[in-house]
Amino acid sequence: MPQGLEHLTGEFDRVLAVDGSVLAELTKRRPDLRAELLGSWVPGGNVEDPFQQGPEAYRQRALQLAEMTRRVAERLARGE
Amino acid sequence: MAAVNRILFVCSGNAARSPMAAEILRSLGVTRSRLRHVVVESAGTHASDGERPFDGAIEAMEEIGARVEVAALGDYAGIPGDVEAPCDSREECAACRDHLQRLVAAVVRRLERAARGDRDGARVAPGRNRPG
Repeated sequence: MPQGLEHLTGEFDRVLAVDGSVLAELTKRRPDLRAELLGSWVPGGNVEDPFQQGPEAYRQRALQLAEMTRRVAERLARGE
Repeated sequence: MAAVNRILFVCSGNAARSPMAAEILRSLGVTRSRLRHVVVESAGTHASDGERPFDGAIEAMEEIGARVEVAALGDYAGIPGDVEAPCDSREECAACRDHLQRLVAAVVRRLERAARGDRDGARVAPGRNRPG
């Protein structure tokens, strides 16, 4: 179930890019989405690509995302 | 500020990072009434058709399932204002233990459905051979 940018339709209330290079590409190709950096909206920094770095890298990214996403959930629950 | 109804996570291949973030947020929404209406999606700047999520991402999600839901247990156990606080007695608390097991199982089921490409599964899309 891929979802390239060309498949995105409708409006999003929040669009969060996981790192700066993704944000740059997203802003260039889909400025209408008004993307933000996940690591700017909540603390946690860039979520680096774990590709071909082994299981531990995926686990670390998952834990990082879990913490950042928990903070996203808190902000959303507050109506931000 | 207006309530958020639709949120999108974006990475490069939609094979690991953004699907993981989306799945975690969906899981957290299970126990947060204010988030249940929020539609969470993921996408990739270079995602392409016909690919699956990385095995590493699925395995990592299975591994952290319990960790993620420990945070949700704070809500479940009625600890206000601090979702980091788990139920201290969860080892002895059958309700918390059952709740945790159900939520973890739900995360794993969604990931498995997504891996098979079911439309109802998480939008854990593509890419064994591309960045996520």
